[in-house]
Amino acid sequence: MPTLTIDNKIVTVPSGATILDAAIAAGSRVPTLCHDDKLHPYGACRICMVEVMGTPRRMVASCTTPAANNMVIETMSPAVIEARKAVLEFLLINHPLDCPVCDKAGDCRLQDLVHEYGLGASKFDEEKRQLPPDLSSAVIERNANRCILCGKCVRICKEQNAVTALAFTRRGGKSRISTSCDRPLECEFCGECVEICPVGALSSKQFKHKARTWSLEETLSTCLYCGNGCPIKLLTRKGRVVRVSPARNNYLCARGRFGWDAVHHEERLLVPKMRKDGVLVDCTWGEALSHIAVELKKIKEKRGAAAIGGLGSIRTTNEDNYVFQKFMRSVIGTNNVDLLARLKMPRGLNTAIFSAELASLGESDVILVLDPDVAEINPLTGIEIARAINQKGRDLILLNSGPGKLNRIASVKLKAGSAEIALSELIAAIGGDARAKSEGIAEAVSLLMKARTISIVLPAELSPVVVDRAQYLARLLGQTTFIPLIRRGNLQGALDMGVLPNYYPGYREINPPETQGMNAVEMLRAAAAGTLGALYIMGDDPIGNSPEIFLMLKSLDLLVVQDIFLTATAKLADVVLPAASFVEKSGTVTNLERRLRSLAQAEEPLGESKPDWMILQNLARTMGVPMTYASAAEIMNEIRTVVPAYNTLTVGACWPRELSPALETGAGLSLSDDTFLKRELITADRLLFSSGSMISRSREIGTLSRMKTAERKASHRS
Amino acid sequence: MLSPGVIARIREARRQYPDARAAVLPALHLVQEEAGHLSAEVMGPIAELLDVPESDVFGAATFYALFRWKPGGRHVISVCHNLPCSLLGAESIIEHLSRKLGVAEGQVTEDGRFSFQRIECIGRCDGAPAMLVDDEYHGELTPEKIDELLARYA
Amino acid sequence: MSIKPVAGENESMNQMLLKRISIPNSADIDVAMAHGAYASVEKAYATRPVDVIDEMKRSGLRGRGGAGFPTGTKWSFAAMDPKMPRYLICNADEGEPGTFKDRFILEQDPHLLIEGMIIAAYAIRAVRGYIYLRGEYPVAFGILNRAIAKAYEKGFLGSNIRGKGVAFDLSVHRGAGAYICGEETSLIESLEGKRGQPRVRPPFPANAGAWGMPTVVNNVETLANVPFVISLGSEAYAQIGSEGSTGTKIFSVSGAVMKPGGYELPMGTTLREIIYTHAGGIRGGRRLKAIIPGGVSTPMLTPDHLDVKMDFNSLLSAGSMLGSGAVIVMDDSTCMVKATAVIARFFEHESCGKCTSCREGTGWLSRIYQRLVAGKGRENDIDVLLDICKKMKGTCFCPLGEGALQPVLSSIRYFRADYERCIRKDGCDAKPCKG
Ligand SMILES: Cc1cc2nc3c(=O)[nH]c(=O)nc-3n(C[C@H](O)[C@H](O)[C@H](O)COP(=O)(O)O)c2cc1C
Ligand code: SF4
Ligand code: FES
Repeated sequence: MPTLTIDNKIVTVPSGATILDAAIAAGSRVPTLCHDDKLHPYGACRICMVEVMGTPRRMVASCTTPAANNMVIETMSPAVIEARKAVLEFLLINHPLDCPVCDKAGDCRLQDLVHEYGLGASKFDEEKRQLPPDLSSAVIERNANRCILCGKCVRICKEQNAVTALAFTRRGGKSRISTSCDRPLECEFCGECVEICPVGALSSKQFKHKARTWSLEETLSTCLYCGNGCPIKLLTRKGRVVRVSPARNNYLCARGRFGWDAVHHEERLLVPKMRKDGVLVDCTWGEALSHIAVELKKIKEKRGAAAIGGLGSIRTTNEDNYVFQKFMRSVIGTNNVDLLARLKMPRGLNTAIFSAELASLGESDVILVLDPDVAEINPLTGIEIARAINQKGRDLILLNSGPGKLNRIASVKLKAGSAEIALSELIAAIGGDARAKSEGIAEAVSLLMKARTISIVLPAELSPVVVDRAQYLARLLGQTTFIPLIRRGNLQGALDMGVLPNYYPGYREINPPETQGMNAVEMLRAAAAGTLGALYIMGDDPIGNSPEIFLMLKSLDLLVVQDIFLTATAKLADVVLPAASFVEKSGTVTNLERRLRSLAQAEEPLGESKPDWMILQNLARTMGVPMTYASAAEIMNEIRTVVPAYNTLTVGACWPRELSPALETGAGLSLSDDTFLKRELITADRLLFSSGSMISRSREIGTLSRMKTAERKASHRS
Repeated sequence: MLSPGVIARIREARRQYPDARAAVLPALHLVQEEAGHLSAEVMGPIAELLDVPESDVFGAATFYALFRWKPGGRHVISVCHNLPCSLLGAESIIEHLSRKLGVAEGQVTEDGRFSFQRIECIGRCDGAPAMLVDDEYHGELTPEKIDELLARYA
Repeated sequence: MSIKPVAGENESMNQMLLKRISIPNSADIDVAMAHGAYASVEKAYATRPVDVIDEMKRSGLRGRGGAGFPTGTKWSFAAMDPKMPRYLICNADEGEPGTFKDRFILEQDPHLLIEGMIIAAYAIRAVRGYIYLRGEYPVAFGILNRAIAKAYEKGFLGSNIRGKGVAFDLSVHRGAGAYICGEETSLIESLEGKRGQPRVRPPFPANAGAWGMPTVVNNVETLANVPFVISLGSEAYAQIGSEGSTGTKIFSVSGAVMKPGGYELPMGTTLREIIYTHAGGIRGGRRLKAIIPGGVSTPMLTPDHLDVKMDFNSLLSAGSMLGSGAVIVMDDSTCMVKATAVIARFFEHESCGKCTSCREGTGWLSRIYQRLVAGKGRENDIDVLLDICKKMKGTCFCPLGEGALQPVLSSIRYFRADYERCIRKDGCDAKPCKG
């Protein structure tokens, strides 16, 4: 714990801290360009120079020089100011002065520093570098002339993302950050490089010339594209989102950063639609809601409430789902509520075995990943694994991966028929069974046996056998935590809210069992058999996922679909209600860590669309049942009283698994055993760029998706 | 894109190191020795063979001055132009070569026999001005000596 | 090979390192062994590794790669780090222009180097070694590979050296044209297959070098001294040379002298003796104008400095550095602007590009020099050059950038008149500028 003096202030810092860390602790402001706490120390830009007093005085880069006992540092001495001016002058030698047309202006570290240090006219009077910009990459534009070669993009792409699409190329004054052979970018297009670039060398095409950064307003929200639920910042200009950034220096994948543009897609539903003479035509809210109210009442009177069912959504908020199940239960009077997503849900998810904080990955000596697609299913989970390996030197055991990015950094590449086989063989090998094993088992066992702490990332398609074996393996090893993979948005929250036929909110079991409702599978079968009269679908598109379902839903008396697009399912509906998108409403969601995250409204709902809960509330009122929530927050207050885990849960915190002892077994939460429907419903394995009705309407992601398809075709051909 | 012979030799080189990435430079040398130069087409195969990101292979390959990206002549002449050689007339040697071969620096003669380029100090300053023809050193160069030397290379 | 290796003809009694090279086929292991090669290995093996390190410390041997760090101390740092395996790397990058001393050993006495490495590896308990050889030394590449193969055959390398249970494997790693790879952390990056850019220190190579393991990097000449420290004993060894600089030094003398070549002389030999006694004085009856004493990154000296002793401390006092001991001699026909322009171009070409000051500074300097020698000098060019040097000083990541300033600052300091004439375009007393 060295103690040193910085600008006449005495500070004590942890050993291993740099002078830069110490300066921050002392409240001194030291500018940096190439340094980032997320990355290994690099020390290239030289703007962070400080003076170490003594004889002789020394200038050092504070970001890479360890703080030592009794050092006396000045961060603003005349020599320091001179050195920083020198560095800035050097940087401006080749940096074009095109700030007026640069999207980074206003948010540019270099511009700020030049301003702050009052740089006068440069003595530089030679030719500037002229490099061609890369305009042909998807989503991202690269302008090498603006580049100051701080290397942050290269390092984040390697150290954090493990993608390494970018690299320093050439040498000296000809150095250039580029791709292999200067080709257009081929990567995950997460845009982390754009985010971390301190100048305008890397920029988002989506944002190009959309707005000057200083004219933007910020709204903090959450990305709903997958179970990671990353915090985002919606940047708006004149009430319209123009850009999405990470809320606080966190990672975002391509879907999170660029995929939001779907909310402005021209196919957004703006007004309600009703089927008249067999065709869907625009109508007023009044017409639509009274039609639904009348029809629902008719069916309920004729065939009973049990002939009506509802499917909730993992793409909407906790509040929407809470109101949805409440509407079904108290307005309609049925427990026929469920989530189609449960068909793909790992059995045993939500049981006590998931400790699930992603941070535990970085704390584990060894990470065993049983799903090669981890980085596509839950990109942030992939990043946390890469960080643990690249930055903390942990070991990765990876099952059956192709040439994917984690493959390159894995210590052991397991080749086994399936997760189940891999687990069985690991267990057998640990038990001393010396028979021939799949490739990598022996190495994996030796790593696992040495490890004090282990994380196991379970496969997204999880079977009870895998869960059992994994738990058994964990008992043989040291301290083990399990990380689930959850494809879509708010599965956890929707379950917590009781969008389940057999549980009320907070997993209060419905008793007696006869009073439980039909699950999603049963509802679909009943619809096909003609025993279900009405189905109310909020924010899901079963036909889009699996066209065969068209036949099952065809004979319903009433199909209501509430969505932001006219999905394949909506096209079959009798009434279609336009819902507000995630940027147009407030609320909360719960991610795969059981962490509560909030959404805040950044735009007015498009056209006549409304938040899902509000539509349901209006319908309840039309049906004569008073519902009087004034806001999502008010709904949350009610949730807190009903769901014990949410009682005192604050945004950003995870609810501890002990709060739901009823879930120990996880029984009844998954429908994944239903092999018939599983085959029917889970047709395509929809990965990073091609999943869901929303993402498929993102222009940016569409570009990427087409590119990937072309690549795949090309590689098949060759 | 890599010949089986080169692949085998890269694999052999790789065994000298605890980590495959270390074989990137040996691999680039081996490829250049066989093909005469590097190209975009070999970056991917080398990367794959050694399990290194392709951009890193390209980044390394473009860092080092001795890797060429276009075909040289059958014989590559590298003339030292650093201080000791330049003090003893390296520039006039380069001029002479250019005139004699009828091509500018970095180009290949029409008959494909020679190409010539500048190189940093080749550690033959005691024989300045000096040059390398392929892997052979020649020193104390004069225009006459060069004329005589070139005739020896087919 | 068509150049004769012009090692010094003088047979001073202190000649050690270059003693064998005048013997025909000295690179052949049998010839070398007949003349004493590998004799010190068993002597070293008879003592403990720590004794070898102590012996090295007592000898006063300092690194010949440029920085002059005490070799025994460097070894002890790596030996104290508990991590295994440890690596020994021979720095055979010899990239400092004007330097060709290591070449004699690499091409003509490779077994001396291998012998030194075997002992060094034993001292630090390294089981793996690499010779990082510059790409510009293709002849040495073949010779070293053959020598290593022979050393394996004779049991001096491998898993059980000479039946003593000591293991040491060795191979050659070829560079590919990058001066910066002589800098030891860049060298390690390059060995690992990356771009040769310097690493942040700490951690130092002694603790986290190649593949994160304790690593010693030593120059060829340094390692070639090791067998002599062992065979002579540290006390006798320390008798050679001068205060603070023990042993001999191979000086690479080039430029405007009658007999350019490598001269192995005791540390502390004066410039005058080197240039006039050994290298035969200035060519063509010209007058001496300037001397670069230790390679192009060391400050130039003038005829006033002829009596400076060539050793670490004396050169520092004279405002320069011993560097690699590459003495580049310039006569009065040399335009110092032109000479410095060549050096400036070299540094621009060799800057690795990592840090701002060096990348941009070397480029800016060089652009001004190219303009000057093209006859397009401007009134304020000298001021701008000095100003760029001031900006680069102390702000570069590694010593390459700092080295790039030395020729500029020293040539302006001693030969400002050349610059002024060049800018005024009223002709030099040297050869006319082109352009
Ligand atoms: C730019 C630069 C170039 C260098 N080039 C060489 C070189 O070519 N050969 C060498 O032995 N040392 C070179 N060095 C010094 C090495 O970094 C290192 O100090 C040396 O190899 C240590 O060996 P020694 O202790 O035996 O001298 C260079 C240093 C710098 C900063
Ligand atoms: S950021 Fe520091 S902060 Fe980076 S090199 Fe620059 S030198 Fe340092
Ligand atoms: S300067 Fe030309 S060989 Fe040394």
